[in-house]
Amino acid sequence: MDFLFGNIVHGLAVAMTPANLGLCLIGCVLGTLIGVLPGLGPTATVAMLMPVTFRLEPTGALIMMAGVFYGSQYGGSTTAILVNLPGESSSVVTCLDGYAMARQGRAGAALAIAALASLFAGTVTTFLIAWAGPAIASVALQFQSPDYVAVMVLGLVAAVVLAHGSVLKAVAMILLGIFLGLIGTDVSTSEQRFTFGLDTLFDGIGFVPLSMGLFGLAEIMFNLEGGGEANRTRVAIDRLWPTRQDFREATPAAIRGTLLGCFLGVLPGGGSTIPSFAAYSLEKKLARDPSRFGHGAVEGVAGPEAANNAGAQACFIPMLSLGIPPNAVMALMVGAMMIHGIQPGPQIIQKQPDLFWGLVASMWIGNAMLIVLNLPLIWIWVKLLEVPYRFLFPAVIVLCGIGVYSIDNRLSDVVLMAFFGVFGYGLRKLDCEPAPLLLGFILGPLIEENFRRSLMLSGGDPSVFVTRPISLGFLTVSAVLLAAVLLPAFQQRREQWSEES
Amino acid sequence: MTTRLNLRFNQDTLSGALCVAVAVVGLVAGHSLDMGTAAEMGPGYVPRLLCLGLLGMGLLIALLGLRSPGARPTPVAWRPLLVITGAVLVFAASLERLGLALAVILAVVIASLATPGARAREIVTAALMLAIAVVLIFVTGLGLPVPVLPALDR
Amino acid sequence: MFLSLKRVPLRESFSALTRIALSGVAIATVALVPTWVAAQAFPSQPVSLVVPWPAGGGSDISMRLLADGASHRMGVPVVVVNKPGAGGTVGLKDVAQSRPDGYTLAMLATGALFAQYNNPAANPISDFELIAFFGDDPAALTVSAKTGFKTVADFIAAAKAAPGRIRNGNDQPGGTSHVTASLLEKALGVRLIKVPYAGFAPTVQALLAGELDSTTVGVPDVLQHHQAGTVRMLGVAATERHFLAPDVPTFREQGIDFVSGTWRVIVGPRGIPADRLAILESRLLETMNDVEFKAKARAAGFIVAPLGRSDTARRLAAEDAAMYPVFLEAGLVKTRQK
Repeated sequence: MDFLFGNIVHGLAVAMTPANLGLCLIGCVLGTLIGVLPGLGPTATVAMLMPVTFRLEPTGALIMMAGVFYGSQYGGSTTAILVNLPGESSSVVTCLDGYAMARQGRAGAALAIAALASLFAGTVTTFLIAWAGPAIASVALQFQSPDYVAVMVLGLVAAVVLAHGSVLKAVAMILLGIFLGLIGTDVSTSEQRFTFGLDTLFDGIGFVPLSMGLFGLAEIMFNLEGGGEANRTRVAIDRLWPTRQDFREATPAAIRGTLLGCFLGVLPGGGSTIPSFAAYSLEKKLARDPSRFGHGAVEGVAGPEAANNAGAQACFIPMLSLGIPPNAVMALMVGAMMIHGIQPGPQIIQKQPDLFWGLVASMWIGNAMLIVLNLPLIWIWVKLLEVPYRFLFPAVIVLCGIGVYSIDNRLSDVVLMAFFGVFGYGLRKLDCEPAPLLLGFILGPLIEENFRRSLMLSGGDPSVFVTRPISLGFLTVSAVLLAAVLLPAFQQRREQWSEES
Repeated sequence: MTTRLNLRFNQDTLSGALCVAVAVVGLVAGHSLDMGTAAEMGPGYVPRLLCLGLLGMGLLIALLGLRSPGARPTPVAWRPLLVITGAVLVFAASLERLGLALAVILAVVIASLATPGARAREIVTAALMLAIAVVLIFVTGLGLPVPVLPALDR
Repeated sequence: MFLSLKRVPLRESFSALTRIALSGVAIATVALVPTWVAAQAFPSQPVSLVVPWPAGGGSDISMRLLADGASHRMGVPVVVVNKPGAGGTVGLKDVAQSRPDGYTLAMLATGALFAQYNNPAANPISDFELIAFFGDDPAALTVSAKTGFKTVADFIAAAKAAPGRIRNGNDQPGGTSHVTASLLEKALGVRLIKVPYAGFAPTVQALLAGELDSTTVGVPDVLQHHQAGTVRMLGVAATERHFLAPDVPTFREQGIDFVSGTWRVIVGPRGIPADRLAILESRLLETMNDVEFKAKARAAGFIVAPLGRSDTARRLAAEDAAMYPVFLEAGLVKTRQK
């Protein structure tokens, strides 16, 4: 413990130099901004910052880049709550209850809960990185392909749980999402699948055009039905701050979300998306009255928001202690280190103590800055909702367009977004939920890749999935969870039928 | 008559039909993909399994929908659907040719037509302000590599 | 510079004159001459360097370093634009279709050589003007410490004892490390299970997790784990030892002629005027031969070995001749046959 304390003090000394504090602030402000702007994600921003980092001292550069990354997790929930626009894959589930809260005039409370849950998760995870980073990373090294398959199957089962309508339709939406995910170049054979000769589809459909079309554009089309303001009943905004009741419900959810986020965030490819979906499903399963979910349940905001922030910071563990970047932003940070001649990897804590502990300490300082920055902003965001919708929606459309374009500088992505806007509108008409579709889209290709690899390595023997303890464990949990969802649904159906006959 | 129509065109039968349609497209388009073996799966293995699953799911949903007719989908509001889609497509078509500023103005003006009773002066003012803000944030601030104005001399 | 004036097309000098007129600069003063020259000289506006890979990878970092250095040499900003997609073919296609005015360049790497045979949408290398060669990122044969292999000979012996049993992790078929592994199989006369992963990071992770026995990724990707002793680099596929890992012998030192890895070339669309090509070539070579630049690139883990236009063409032809049979044998040649 002494060792930890000494290191944290050392790290604080590094992070508290005026230059590093300034860089941390710049990173957090920028992160909040780009998190709020739909589409423009931390990856694009950190990439744009790369040239600046040439001139900076490496620790400062990394502190700033990290600030952009976790800052965007705070900002990302803002558009999700205000206009049903998930800027990041990790804020898709925040749309479900956050936006519902906003429609009930509780946007302020939703934003505050999201920010506080994020702060809590950020603080806990920072200490976790400091205390047990390398140990946690070595757990992640136990994971092999069959185990990833099992974890992701659990994720898909979670998608069924998070649906609030028909279970059958949710399963169908997951399958549809997996199908969309399979479009593009097959990782295992480099063969084109379902690209119909279109260059645009060679790398598959991007997550951002898909989600912004399904959620953002479809929502606007839906709101404009019947012309103008009619469908967006203005709700008086009663109070900005959450009630005591809100806090009571949100606190345990935030704690569970944090733990889930820390654990799942460490896994390569996990990042912050899977944790947020998993946290939402967990909350819904634990809730005494699951029917509140989707209609403005506070836990549905607190759990996923804590989980995605914890996941975002837990990503630093494999990056710092193994040199293995679990996502694109971490890859950029590895790049920034390489430019300065630092090879990230298992020896970084010994070789670059200033950088490691300074970065860890700055995350905690950055989280504190973010909360100071974000709480007063809530007032401004809520005011934004009072802008007449006829001005708001064209602005959202334009921001979506630029945001989608900025990812890869590709116009075809903007066209894809328009297509998925129409598709999403159609799904809404049919009462099909887009959230399970998105999760299938994210997880499907990963499952396929790992599934094929598992069988390739086992020589076609499917028993690998049950002989490895990690895989067996996750599959058992999935089966139990699935049974818990399906049985009531079938019972209901049976009762319905017996009533009919 | 209406009940029969309800039966056929309720949300469930249509969702089921959508799944069946996608599955059929997948099976036909993926026809030439190699299946491979369990130990060395080809690119067609998973897609085919998936499409069969989707086909089954779609049929099940559609049949259950026929048994117990659910709600009919509310009518499609064509105006916002077409106008919003058009605004995004015009934005895409003009961004690299006419530059960010004009693309934003065009998109905002077109999108505003999605609602009846839009006031011209209001729209133009909003479009100009948004164009300025967007250029300042994305090009000046974040350095997005995109032209701001039409390239006249190139 | 003055020589370059002669061949500037009329249209461009006209537009430059209009620009001057519009800006209201008085004509017929002595001061005009340098202004006019500046407007005429190439380059007079920012040059974009398209990197057809996402930001953050080796290609992106090396090109950002180069763009940073070249900006000083050229006197105009050189801006890196990431246009990733379809294994690098999307960004290259954009550049191939851009105006050949020398203001749009691209980085072309090993994968493009493969893509022209496999991807119907990819541009053949002949669609580009080769301007300068940046350098090589040699691959290394790396094994998990658990295997107990100490030398390439150990590896060969084990692979021969159990053909098709040693697990070797790679990127997608046709990707750099996959091609390297295929070339390695030929050079060593062995057969491996080539397991595809989506990139180098998951491959290294799987090697550490014990899912793989070996991999053929670049030296910087495995360096720290090699130093920590969890994995072991058996041989570097280069003509000399890698400066980051001077303890690892090359394949040639171990009696096997095997050189492979990623190389990077700066290209532009076909049809750039010769005078502009010459300016770009010399500015880029000056940048890469700069002592300070070399030191910076070295610190970041890159070997800079600049080559001019004709040498680059020769080098690429040699690579093509070596790799084509491998693609053919692996059944990866789908579109253009040679």
